Amino acid sequence: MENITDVRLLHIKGDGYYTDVLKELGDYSIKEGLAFEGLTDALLKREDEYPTGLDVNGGVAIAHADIVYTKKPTILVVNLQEPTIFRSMVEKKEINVRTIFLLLVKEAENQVKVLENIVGIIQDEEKMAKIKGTEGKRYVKELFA
Amino acid sequence: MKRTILVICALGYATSTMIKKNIEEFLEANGVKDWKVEAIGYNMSENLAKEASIIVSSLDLNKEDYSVPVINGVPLISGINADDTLQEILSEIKKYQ
Repeated sequence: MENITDVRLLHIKGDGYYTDVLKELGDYSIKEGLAFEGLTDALLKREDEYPTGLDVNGGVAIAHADIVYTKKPTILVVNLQEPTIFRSMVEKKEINVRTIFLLLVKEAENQVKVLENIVGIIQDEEKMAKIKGTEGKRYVKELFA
Repeated sequence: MKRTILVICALGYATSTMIKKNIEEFLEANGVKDWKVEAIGYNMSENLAKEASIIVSSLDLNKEDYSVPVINGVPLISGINADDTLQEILSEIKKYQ
């Protein structure tokens, strides 16, 4: 079903600079059949040119690249064990990020609700904490149901 | 003919959708009916930007490149100072009333 967006909660180590983390997530997406080859480079290039970091609720990044790389519409909600340096949308300054929302969007018009949900979560301290908690996986599914 | 608020972001689908929805809901809540909101990626924004009355962007645009007000839209995603940003948009709209 093309229009249903899959949501996955991942936990990865993080640490260091965003390039390593985005490489890991890009390669994971390709390997899992969620994205086409080229995604990893596209994510890195985009993040370098137009950073997606937001200095809110522990630091968030909404990494995404051109839609052409999306195979299956998916949101990866990624908990970083160690803060990882991204650059902020605001003046490109370096910030610590602890949660990444990696967006694999196929048709934005069909996924408006999902994107709205993400904004609601990013802004909500309680929701962000629940994503990090032990019930994170179930909670994330609920959030996007 | 409706006036346009143009939301400019990097790729034109994710960040701008988030900002666009936020503004649309705000306009509706404030009874603003004669304005519409459009979203576009930076590389394709030149022509639309010429027809817009207000620009809202998640990017650090150079205000001098535009003849209309350019408002930073990042607060509408992060939630920090979002109200101030929305009020700023509203006061620009009111200048046309």
